[in-house]
Amino acid sequence: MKILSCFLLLFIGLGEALFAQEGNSKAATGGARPPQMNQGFLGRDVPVMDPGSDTSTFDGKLWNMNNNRLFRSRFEKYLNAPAETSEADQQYESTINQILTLLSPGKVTSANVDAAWKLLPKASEYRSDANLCNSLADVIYSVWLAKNESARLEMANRTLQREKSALEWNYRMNLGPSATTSNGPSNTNSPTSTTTLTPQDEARVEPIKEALSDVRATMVNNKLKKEASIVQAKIDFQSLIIQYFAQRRFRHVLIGTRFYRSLFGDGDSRLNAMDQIASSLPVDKDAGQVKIKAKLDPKISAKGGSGAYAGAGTGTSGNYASAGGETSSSGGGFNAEGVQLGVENLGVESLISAGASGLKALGKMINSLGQIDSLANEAIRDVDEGIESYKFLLEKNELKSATERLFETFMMGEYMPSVRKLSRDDKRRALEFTRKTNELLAALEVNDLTRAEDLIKELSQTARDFDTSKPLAVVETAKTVSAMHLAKAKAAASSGDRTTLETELRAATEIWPRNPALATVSGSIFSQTDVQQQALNDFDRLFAQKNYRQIFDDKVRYIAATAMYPERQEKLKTILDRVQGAETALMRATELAKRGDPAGAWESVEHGFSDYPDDPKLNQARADFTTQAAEFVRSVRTAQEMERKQQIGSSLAWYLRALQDYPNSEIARDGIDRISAAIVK
Amino acid sequence: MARRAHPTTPSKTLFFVVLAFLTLAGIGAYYFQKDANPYRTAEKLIPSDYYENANSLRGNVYQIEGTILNSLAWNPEKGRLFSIRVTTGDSKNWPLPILIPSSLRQINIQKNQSYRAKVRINDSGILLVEEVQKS
Repeated sequence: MKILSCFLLLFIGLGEALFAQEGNSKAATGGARPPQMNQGFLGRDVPVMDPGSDTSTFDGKLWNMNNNRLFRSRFEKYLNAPAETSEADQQYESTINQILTLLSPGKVTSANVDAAWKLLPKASEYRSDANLCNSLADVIYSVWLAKNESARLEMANRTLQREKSALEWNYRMNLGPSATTSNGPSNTNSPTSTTTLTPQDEARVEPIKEALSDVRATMVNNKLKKEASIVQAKIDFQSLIIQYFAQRRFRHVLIGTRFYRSLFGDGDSRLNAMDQIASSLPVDKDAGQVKIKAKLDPKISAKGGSGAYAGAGTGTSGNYASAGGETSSSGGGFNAEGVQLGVENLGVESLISAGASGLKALGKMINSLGQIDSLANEAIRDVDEGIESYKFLLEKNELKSATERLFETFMMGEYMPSVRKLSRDDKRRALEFTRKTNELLAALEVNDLTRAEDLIKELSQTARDFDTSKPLAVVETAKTVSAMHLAKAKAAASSGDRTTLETELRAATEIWPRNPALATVSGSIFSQTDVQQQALNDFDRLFAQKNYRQIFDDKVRYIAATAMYPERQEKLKTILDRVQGAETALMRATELAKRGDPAGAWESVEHGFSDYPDDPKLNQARADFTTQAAEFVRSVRTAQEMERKQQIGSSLAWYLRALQDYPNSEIARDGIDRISAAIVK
Repeated sequence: MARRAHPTTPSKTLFFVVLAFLTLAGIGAYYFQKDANPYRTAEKLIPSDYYENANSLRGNVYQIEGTILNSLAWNPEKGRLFSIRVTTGDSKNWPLPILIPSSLRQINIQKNQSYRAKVRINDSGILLVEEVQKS
């Protein structure tokens, strides 16, 4: 299990390791866009991996494959660790180099091998070694023990061979002359020859035959034991080497392979450990194989509207998840559905079977220690080159690339001297950049756009190669969308549409929870709502009281408040027309009164009075001008009264008199025209 | 007996006396006819009464005299409606409406001219002219 996890770590580390957080579009869309957006082609129910940015999305969540606790904590621990340049570190380095030198091709002798083996415990004394050399020494010792056992068995077999010869001799000697050999093989010494024995002879040789059989069996067993012991020692050694390779202890791999070659000088360097591991796995052949199925039945259409489709279905032989995604814009939409993805026959047994198959396949690709050795050498070279590259990029202030290279190098050769000797100051710069990029990713994920914007600025200043375009585009887009939602919320608040108001405010909050404008706008919206509601209440009350003058005096307030209420708006319009008419009449009356025309002034007020009889200002003016043009007013009022009583003759006469008193009287003229027309009709 | 000569009236003198009488009578008749009120048999309308309640005067016939002020309305079938200013003894002017029916269409009614008319207050309380002449 440990080996498998190490392999996983290794292969992920060998992959494209990167710090492209600030530039990945998924981070942008997934983090800064509202959940209802970014449905994607397959919806949000199917995990999607973006190899370009090493991110994967699932259920609306974004995950940067490199930005997880396992990698991040390990990398940050390394970046914070001091450079391993102490005397002990140098001694350890020297010891390892010494071992490698002793075991280097061309120098391998028994003495050197022994000397190298003796250095292994010494190397294990250093912290950096993590006792790996001790483990190696133990395995080597085990090989020697196996070899010793083999020699002992060889010696035992030689003894048994002598005993066997003696027993065979005794057997032949105890056969009497009466014994007849028939159709037996030419070799008369062979106990297998068909010999006809007398009962006495048979009783005499039977113990010898049994003893001879036992000796032969023991010899065969010893031979098998000897072979098995050596094979087991080889497999144990190979397993340890593979484990060191998986642990990225490449120099230990080199030491191990060199020891292996010196210990097993039979030229057999085939790598059997993987096959052995695969064979040892409890594979159930009846379990079958895991199958990933994809079924495409595309139904693509363009249409308007918005929404998303996600569903699940059941296949005939496995479980399927079907998903459809829909994207839309204000002007139209694109809809695609009909993709079914499914995993069939997923189980522990099938996974073990798959693992065994994988190991066998890997064993076929890497089937000799020579390959492991060359891979380790190549990795050492690659790590050293990565560190050189990091230092160069650091000098150029290209922190983004430098950090990416260091991360890759670290994942590849975490325990290599060049990596461990990197100074803390050099590593701190990468650490700061890494922290900031992680913070940026976190800020984008929680839609803290203000913080994200600050981080982008900081990163662009500290790292010359940091591409701000994508993250800034994300931030700006999110801000714009948030502002649009706020604007819609404002409009909804003005129209009294509380449902839309809440929806838009929620959307704006989801996009940018810490938007400074959010509190301001929300406050103003709710304040505005309160003011509007208060104004509407006042309007209703004043309207019921027929206090139109008060409404007219605060007309601006009521015009704004009733803007989205057609019924109230109509009432307000009527009121304003009436009061405006009264105001006009009053102004005209005042002007006429100034010119010494009280009858005209009264008549003007009377016009306004007919429209708005409850206006106190009009009533006051009307009373004033009535006294100033008493005769005219009496004529008009009498005429109107007579007209109301159907005294059209008298009414017409009074109108004529009023016109005589005030020739410009519109009331009198209108009355005359009205009654005259009735008379001659 | 002698006949006593009786005094005789000469026919020539008698002729002149008669002629003078006839002349004087003619002059007198002319004079009296000229200033006579043809509607003197009709009572004069009191404007204040009309102003107060015209309907109560319906059916009555009055004579009025005044100056035409304005033409108020006209209908070929019903006639012409004018306003006429009647001045009473206390020098107060009372504008009144009068309706000259179409039967009197041959009479020209001029503005600012004085007319005397015999009127009847109709069912609507309007002064309906029955006869009219310039005064």
